[in-house]
Amino acid sequence: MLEVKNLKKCFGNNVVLKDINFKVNKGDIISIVGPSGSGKSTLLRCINMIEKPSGGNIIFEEKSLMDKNTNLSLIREKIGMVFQQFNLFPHLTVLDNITLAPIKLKLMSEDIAKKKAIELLKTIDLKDKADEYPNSLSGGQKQRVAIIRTLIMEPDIILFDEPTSALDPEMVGEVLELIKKVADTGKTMIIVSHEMNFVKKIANRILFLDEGKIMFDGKTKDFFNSDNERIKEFLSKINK
Amino acid sequence: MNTYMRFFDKIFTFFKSIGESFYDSVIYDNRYEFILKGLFHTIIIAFFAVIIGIIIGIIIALIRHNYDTNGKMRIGNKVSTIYVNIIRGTPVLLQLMIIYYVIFKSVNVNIVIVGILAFGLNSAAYVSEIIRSGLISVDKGQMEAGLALGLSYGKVMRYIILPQAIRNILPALGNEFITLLKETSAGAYIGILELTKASDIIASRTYDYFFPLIITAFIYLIMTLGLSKLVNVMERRLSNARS
Ligand SMILES: Nc1ncnc2c1ncn2[C@@H]1O[C@H](COP(=O)(O)OP(=O)(O)O)[C@@H](O)[C@H]1O
Ligand SMILES: [Mg+2]
Repeated sequence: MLEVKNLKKCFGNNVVLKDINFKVNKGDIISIVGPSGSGKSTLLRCINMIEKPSGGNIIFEEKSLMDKNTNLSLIREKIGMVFQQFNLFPHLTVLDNITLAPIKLKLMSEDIAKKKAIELLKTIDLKDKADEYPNSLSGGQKQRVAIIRTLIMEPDIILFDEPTSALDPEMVGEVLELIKKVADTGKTMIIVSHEMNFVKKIANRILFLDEGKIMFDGKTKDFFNSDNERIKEFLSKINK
Repeated sequence: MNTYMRFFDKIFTFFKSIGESFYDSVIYDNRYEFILKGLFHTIIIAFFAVIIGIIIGIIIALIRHNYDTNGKMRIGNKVSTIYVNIIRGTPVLLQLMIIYYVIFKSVNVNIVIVGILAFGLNSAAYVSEIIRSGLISVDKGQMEAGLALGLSYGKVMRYIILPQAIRNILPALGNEFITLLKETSAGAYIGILELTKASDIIASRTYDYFFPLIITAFIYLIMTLGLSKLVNVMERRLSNARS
């Protein structure tokens, strides 16, 4: 459903991504891991064109995202994204945060969007926060609302960029649990994360990114048993 | 005893002369009409100029912000930047004179309209910077989250960025209006009968500058202090609003 072809990205003279190639099939749960600064966020952001690639192509459901005639907004409706910093809209209530896009994009009537949002909030036990503003939520609650905001769009794939890195340790669990629940519905996902135990449990495939290149692309099991020196070094550092 | 008498006499004469000055400057020959007319023009020019400034300023700010965030509208951004730099880098009096003596040289046009146009074009540059810095003050992640949900740049602006930027923009716009209200006095130079010109006209008739100028200063002060109060209230309300 998604193919990244010869993707290149530079910021000025800084070449961040060099010739990235991989395919994502429906139902895949792919985890992108790698040292910080290796270009993981940049890669995710290129996939939904929030960052414009310097070269190569992204093909999503048979459409080239680099094609000037492609309506990126329509594509992005189908590619959900969850950010490290949540990026909830602080001037809107929790409910309005969730319903803004489906209503303004005329995907649902206001009533239906609200009903659906409340239903989704019930699944994460935050129904009573519907009329509160994001400021009054804990980090874990914010991130779970952000995930719901993405889910209401019924995207075909969801990109997670270190969804738990900005959280206090005691809140990591509730967010990972929700991601796991979404994964169990068969949703296609790409997750950038440093939570290796979680990655091991949830991902069927690992992409190991190092210095802007994919150094490993294969089964999760094979990644954690790899003899590759760089991978071993990475895993031993992160487990400390 | 005598010194007391003289003292009261002096005070009496002082107030009497103030009364006479006031009478000469304001009442005699309906001179207050100059002041009312001048005040009217000052307010009209500032009001319509700030409206022109806001309309053009928003356009410039959106062009430049679009370029800053997406790299789109390169040429529009260049033109806007040059415009803003020229306006902010030259005195408003000079701009006014250029528009009046050069551009409208051979055209018969109401001088108040020339003033509105000149101050409006001037204000646009400052307003665009106010709006642009208001937009920049909103976290970059907000635009990204909006775009990622499939909203267009315009919709993200309208529903996500502008409502958050407005709390920084509105008070600054209020202050811009206050500045403009005072700056319109430059219009006196090309002969617009605004508040400052009004006091000048009266003074030239009474041969006494003191009173007309003091009255005018007082009127400016009342307006600017009043508006400042309003801006402060607005600022407090906006920052108390939920975030
Ligand atoms: N907007 C940007 N402008 C310039 N350089 C950037 C920008 N975003 C990321 N980079 C650079 O790209 C490199 C990779 O960053 P990033 O993709 O965030 O890595 P990761 O998510 O793996 O930690 C870093 O060297 C970073 O400084
Ligand atoms: Mg990152």
